[in-house]
Amino acid sequence: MIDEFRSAKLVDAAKRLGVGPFELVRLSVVLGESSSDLRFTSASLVKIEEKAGIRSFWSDRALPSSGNPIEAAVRGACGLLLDLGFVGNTGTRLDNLSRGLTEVQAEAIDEATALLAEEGAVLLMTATAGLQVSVAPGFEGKVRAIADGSDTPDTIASLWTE
Amino acid sequence: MADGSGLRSVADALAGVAQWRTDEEARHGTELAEVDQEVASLQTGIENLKQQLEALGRFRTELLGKVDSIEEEVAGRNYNAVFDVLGDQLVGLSSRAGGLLQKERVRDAQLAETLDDPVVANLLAEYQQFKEVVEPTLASIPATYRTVMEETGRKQRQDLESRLAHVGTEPIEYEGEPLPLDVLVAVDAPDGQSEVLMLVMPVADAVHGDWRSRDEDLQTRLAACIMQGAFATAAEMGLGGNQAVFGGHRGQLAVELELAGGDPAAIAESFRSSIQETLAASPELIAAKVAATVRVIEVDHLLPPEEPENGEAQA
Repeated sequence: MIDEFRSAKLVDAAKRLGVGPFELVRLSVVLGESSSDLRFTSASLVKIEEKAGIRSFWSDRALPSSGNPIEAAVRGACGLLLDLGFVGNTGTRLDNLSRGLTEVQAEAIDEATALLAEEGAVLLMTATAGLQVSVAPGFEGKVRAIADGSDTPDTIASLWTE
Repeated sequence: MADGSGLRSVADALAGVAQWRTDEEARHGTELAEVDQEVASLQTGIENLKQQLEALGRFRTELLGKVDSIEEEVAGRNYNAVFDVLGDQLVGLSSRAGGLLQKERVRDAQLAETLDDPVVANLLAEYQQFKEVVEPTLASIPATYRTVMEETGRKQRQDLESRLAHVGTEPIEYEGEPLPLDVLVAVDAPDGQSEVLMLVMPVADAVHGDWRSRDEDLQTRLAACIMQGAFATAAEMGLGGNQAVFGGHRGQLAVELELAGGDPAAIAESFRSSIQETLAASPELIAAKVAATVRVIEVDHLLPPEEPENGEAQA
């Protein structure tokens, strides 16, 4: 029980936030929460979580129903962006789309996002708080069609059909 | 033949000439044979010398080729020398990390037993009671009362955190010799402007690749300290949002960070000094007697030599 109250070691803190340990190091440096002993109090982790906009969207919502977990994750991520208003300059951390999902699902979401960014349908923006993602204005319909499964580009569908 | 008069006959004179001719022809014939033999001998010598010249010419061409390939050979030898040393240093660091991790585990296991502060023991007991007895019933009690109880639990937790946050977190001292290590910094600038920062450290790439399943140890903390310094410098350059790309190279942890131009030598030095300062300020590394030196190195020393193209003969 004592461990619950001690300042967390880097890896434990990273697991608690759902980011990689070196991303936590980066965030702690750029957000002014760096520590020379690489330990993090609960208070400092809360600050980092808030300042970096780290969210666990899937903790209180369900993925769309699908026989394929990859399809469900990709469609769910697309729907999430639109449902929560992440369009244009209003973005969210890319890893927020997959936090709480499996590693395979997270990789598929990253790949789908990269493919959509190549087409210009999704914006990826470097920011101090971490890589941000949003739907490009004018592409809401295209992303919605992927989310509801009515019109999925072959390149995206290949993520779960191949 | 002469008669009694003592006078030679014409026949004798001509016979004498004939004899002279025979003798001269015989002498010159011998000399000619000797000259011919000498000429033949010299011609054989010339042929031999020609062959030697041809052989020397071929050898010279080979040597010129070898001189040309020294640059390539040096590149490969530099690369191997760098990673062989880092590999040896990694073995040393890994061994030290393992020993210290073992001590840390023992300390953590004994922590509860060594906590003899009665105030903390009492607070822990109260908080445990809150978690086990009170918290499960909160949903079923009136809101006002629930708020009070939740506030009580929050305060208990805060109190415990303030008392226990740093208990047993002191770095473990290593009793022994300092461990010299190299941390390598290079800036890739193919067109003269800095494009990519490259870091290579004597840390296992599993520290990144297997971070979820791997115990945090001295290797993790060395890598994290290095990245603290690197990210701080990147932030000063307005690149705080640039996420580093981590990977393994011959088992070592290698990192790349995108840069945005600038003088490569000055930028490399900025990263070097910042990382060195961060390492020097790390209580963990000091206690572990890790003597890491950050060095700026040529990018080429970190890249494997190019493979010969298909069909190209290997020297």
